[in-house]
Amino acid sequence: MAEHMKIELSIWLNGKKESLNSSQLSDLLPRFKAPFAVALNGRFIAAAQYPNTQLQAGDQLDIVSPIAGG
Amino acid sequence: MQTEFNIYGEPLNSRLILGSALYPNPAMMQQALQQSGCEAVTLSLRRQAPEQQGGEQFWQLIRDLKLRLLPNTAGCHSVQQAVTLAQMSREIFQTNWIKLELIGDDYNLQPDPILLLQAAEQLLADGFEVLPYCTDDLVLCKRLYELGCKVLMPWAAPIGSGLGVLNPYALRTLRERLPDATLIVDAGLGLPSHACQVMEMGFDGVLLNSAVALAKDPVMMAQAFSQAVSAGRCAFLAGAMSKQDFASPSTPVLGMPFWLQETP
Repeated sequence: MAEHMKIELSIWLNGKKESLNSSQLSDLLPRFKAPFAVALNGRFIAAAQYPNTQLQAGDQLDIVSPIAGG
Repeated sequence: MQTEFNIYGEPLNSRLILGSALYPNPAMMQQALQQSGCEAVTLSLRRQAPEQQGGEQFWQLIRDLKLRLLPNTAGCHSVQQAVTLAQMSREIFQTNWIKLELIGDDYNLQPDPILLLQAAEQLLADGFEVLPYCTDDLVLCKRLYELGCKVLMPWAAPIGSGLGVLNPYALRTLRERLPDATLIVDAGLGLPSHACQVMEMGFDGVLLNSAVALAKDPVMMAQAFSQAVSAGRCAFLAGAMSKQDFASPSTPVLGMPFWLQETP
């Protein structure tokens, strides 16, 4: 059976459950507008590490951008 | 005129630092920041919601002002949260400055002194220039300073309260005991007179947000705070007279008319 392997990955993206069809962090990022920064499971992921970062089921991914603050 | 002010070696012409939150609208924020003459502004990071457009407009406005950026870790309750948010801030804002906020109580937003020390130590080791938002506790401030925090930002009162200086003794003590630290009063000021009061004590600067942003006219209030900070600094440098518990006439007594040396 040469059926194509379809990846289905459920993670927490900015606090909401999200199903992905790629485990590559880089595949997820184009939907976000620069500037942004990334944390995976509460740890900072530097931009240079995006291409090497794989996501796993249940991961908590936070993508943040500038807002007003005091 | 008022001697140099710097934050981790970065000279600033204004001793007033303003926040960027709570203004009635972005244009008002921009005007208030400009009219205050401040050269540094606080801001933060939150989860990006692609459907919301406001974030981009805010970032564009802030960039146009060309101010020094002081990102905060507002809302963090753990060392790991604060460290991660600081690292994300450094990447986005391209600055080593971090206003370290670690909340220990949700009711009065009082900083957690124990976690603050732990987070400051980690961030300093990671190359950050840490500006901890702290209480006015002398021992905590001494520990933070000894760790390497060259700038300390004790509160005057809880964030957003506008109560002014609740414990002038504690603030005066900090100034006296940490003469070489850069001390910026952060949080709790409501009126320009509050800012003037702490500047008269010898504090190096003032950081505030709500008092300007929530004024009926934020732009005018920003100007008022700017003047108050300058006035307080001048007064500190000028040196106040000593207080006394009795009257002392300022007009010379000698030569007073209607007075006779002898009873007629």
